Amino acid sequence: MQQFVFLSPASLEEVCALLEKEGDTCKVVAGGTDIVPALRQDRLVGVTKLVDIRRRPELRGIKRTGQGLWIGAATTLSEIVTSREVQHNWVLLAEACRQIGSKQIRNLATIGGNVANASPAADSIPALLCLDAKVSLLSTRGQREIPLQTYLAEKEHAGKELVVGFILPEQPAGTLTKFVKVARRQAMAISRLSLAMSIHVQGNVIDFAHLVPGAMLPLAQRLEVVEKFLVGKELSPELSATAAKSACESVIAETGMRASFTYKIPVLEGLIKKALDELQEVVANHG
Amino acid sequence: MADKIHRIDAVEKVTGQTKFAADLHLPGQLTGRVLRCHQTHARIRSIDTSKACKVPGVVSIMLAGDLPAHTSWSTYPILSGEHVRYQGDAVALIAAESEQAAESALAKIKVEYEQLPSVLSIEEALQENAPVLHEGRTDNRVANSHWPVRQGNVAAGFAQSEVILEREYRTSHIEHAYIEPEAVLVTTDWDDSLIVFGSTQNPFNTRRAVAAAAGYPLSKVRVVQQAVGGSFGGKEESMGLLAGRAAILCLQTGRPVKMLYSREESIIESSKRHPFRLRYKVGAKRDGRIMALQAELVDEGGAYNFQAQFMNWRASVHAAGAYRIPNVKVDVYAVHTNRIFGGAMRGYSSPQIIFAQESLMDELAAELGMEPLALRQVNFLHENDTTITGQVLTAAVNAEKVTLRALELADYVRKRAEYQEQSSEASVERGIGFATSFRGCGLGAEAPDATGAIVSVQSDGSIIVRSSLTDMGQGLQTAHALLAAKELGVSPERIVCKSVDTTAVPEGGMTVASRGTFAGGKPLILAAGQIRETLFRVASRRLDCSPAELAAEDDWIFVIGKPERKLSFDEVVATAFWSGYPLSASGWFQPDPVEWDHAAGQGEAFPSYSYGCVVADVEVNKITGMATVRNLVSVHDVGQVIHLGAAAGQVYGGIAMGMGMALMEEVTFRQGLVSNPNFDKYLVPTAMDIPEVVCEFIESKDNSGAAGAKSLGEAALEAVAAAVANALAAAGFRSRVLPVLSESLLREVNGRR
Repeated sequence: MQQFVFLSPASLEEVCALLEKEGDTCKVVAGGTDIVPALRQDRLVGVTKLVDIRRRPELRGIKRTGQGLWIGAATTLSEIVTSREVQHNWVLLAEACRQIGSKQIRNLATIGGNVANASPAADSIPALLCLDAKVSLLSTRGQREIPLQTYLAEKEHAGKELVVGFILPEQPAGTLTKFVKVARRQAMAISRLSLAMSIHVQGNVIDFAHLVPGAMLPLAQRLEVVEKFLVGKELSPELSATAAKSACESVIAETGMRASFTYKIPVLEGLIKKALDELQEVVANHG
Repeated sequence: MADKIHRIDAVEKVTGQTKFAADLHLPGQLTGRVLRCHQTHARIRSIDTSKACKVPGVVSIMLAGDLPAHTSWSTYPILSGEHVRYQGDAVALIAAESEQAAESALAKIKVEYEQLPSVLSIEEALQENAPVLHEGRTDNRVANSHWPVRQGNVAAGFAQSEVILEREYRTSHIEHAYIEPEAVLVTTDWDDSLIVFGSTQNPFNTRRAVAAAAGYPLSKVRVVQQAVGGSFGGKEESMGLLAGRAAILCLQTGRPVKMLYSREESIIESSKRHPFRLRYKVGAKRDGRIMALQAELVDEGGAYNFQAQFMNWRASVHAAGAYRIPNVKVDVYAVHTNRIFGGAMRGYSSPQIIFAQESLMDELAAELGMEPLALRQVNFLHENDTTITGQVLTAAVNAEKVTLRALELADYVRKRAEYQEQSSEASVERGIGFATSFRGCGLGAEAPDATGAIVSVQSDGSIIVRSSLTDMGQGLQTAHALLAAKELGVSPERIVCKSVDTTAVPEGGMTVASRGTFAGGKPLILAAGQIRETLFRVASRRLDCSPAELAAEDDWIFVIGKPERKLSFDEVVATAFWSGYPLSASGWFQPDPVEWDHAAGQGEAFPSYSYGCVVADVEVNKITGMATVRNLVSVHDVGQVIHLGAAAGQVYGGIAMGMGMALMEEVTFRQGLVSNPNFDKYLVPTAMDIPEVVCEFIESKDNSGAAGAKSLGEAALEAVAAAVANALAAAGFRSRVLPVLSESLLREVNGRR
């Protein structure tokens, strides 16, 4: 078994200094739930130091700020799932986090870890992208905030920056969201695919739509072609069907036809269609 | 009798106190490791250990040529020197001061192979020009694995039939998935005999393996069973090999050797549930009477096999299910391939057979336009009926009784009608289905059901019970404590049950075939009965009566009808002990002789049968193809229940395993090599996947088990996958291959559009 030096720095500055100095030989650990699989798959070759950030109070907590909701990177998934704040106004994120791993895993695993590990099948990422999340990053060069999408795209090339937290902007009142996970069992399962959707309807017309499939693209991203297509349209079964089809086409256009798509593409189409149909029902009943 | 006490090992297990073999350490112990070939079929050209020997910390490296005695145990090679037949075959052993040293040396051993053509499926094994995998054989059929049943005349039966159906079903390799991988620690005693501490289901077989490997007489090998973290039939071949290899390294180095399997090694080397190809032909009259049944059941034995020879006998006996069929022709046989070998796994062929045979019943019912229940009611076995092996059933036959009760508890009739009215627009398809099974208790005519036990009352009234059979997590010690306590009229808290030590109890066969209580309780009751007689003799003198007038209950020995004339159990024990009476007794259960007509497959197969019915209520999501079991009802006639909690635990566990077999579990292979050797890819159901379960026991009398208890451990599992498959069929998805994955269900949904 590979051996590591385990460090628990007393401040974030110290963490950043370590990251700067040690570069790729050190790895940040929070919940630790992705470390053992990484170790067993030889993905930690060359890493000699583990930097524990779980106990840093600056990285924990969920609070409302002027910008929306702030969630510390070392906040556990369980804390997010049970947070009233998240449940009331960002329920999409709570739903996505609720379906990660098992209760035991969620008690340890952190939102920052789920994002920084950046697995294509990470469940929190589609939800966060849907919610227009920004990532707050800290390094010896200072603090900056960038959109999650940018973070994911630049992650491999970016220098050693610590994910400090996430900022979720306020959602327009009445935004409807949906998170669906498709896996081989009810817990302890990696998403075969997932769907995060956030839509706002004025009258019967869509004026805001975000749509992110998970575990289908190497890098999760919003399906902007479909979003643009939806905005300004009236909900209808035909719209659901056309949007679902176009979503699948845009996924295939992005990454090509993969072997797993024989299963995943019809499922994604069905999920989007059903989600939009259900939305129409909700609007009809309340609107 | 039910639940006077908790499981006797519950607290230590729940609080993490239990010591498993991996928790043991001896001063100076070495770590043993195995180098595997990772080839499906090859000749070994050369093995170069020169670099590995130089790794600091390496104490010994052994090859096949260095083995002190036998090179194989049963049919399994301890080390292969020339020819490897599947990926788990071991080619070298290492003993080292540390894990790291062993690991590094493993990587430095260079083996050159010459690849040979491989046989990777039942079909390939049966091809006429297939390479023959074992010397001295003319084809790939596993020696002695063919078990026929011939009853009546099938040709005449099919001629009388108005409807004839032919179907083929398939099942997959399934991993036992015990939570504790194989572990062993071997050391020597002052007289150079070997002591083996291990996680083993059958310590006497492990002893045989060690004796073969070391070239020792059985008397010089002591196997001490440690707490076992699950086995389900699995800790047999791999444990024998592991213990044998550790013993050789121990003798070679003169130091204790500990060996633990990683999960990957455990999955690669431990036996699997045999995959079956099940071809059935059935003929019936329009009114549902089954006139003939023909079956060719072939199981994949893998590279080596010493289970199909026994398991296929059980398969032949149960091949036609709990039905009365006048004309039957059954052939069961196994074939060798270059994949991981099949072994015993909870159910011992029944789950596979029942899946096919109960699917067939539903398919026949549909063909006849009959309800699944109605078809079964025409054909169910009843008292005084004759089974396909010519056995007349004289005790209560409760196949129909358990079925009707299970269907009632499941609200089957109403749900079936409701689901048939489902709108095709709905996003899910629901179905309810069931499977009924019967199961011969214990070993039956497969082997003598003999076993032993020692009960020993101490001078202070505390009691030690030693059975020849093992508790591997199923709760056997609790059942045994209750049986001994009842026989002696004492509280079970007085009893300490010891795990098997091969130097302390007589060899009493294997803990298999759901016989731990059924057969294992018998010698225990005999031994406790002998001691009770002694105590009554002693008490009768002090109470001035004859021993026949005495009874024992609640720690008192008293005169029947005059409970005020009594002595405490402790007092009688003390008197007996200080007067020189024997307070230890050994019991042995000697079964009736076994007779079987091999050529015709006829005979008294089992002394008693358990009956069970499982009803599954499922739904299939039409978007994702995911099948979800919503409710399960499981009803069993188990004779008398000894401990309700343990019995219900068996049912819940059986349901989880059966659901796994139905919907997700499958060892997958890439060119013959296991591609999912850990639980990230080999998925078993979690607690979140288990639906609401209703479990009920129907008690019955007049069977041959200890205290009236019949078999349950395997009965609890065997019909579950079949029930789920029939429920899926009722929802519109008849699948003849297990597991039924969402891909195939979705393909069917989309195919209909």
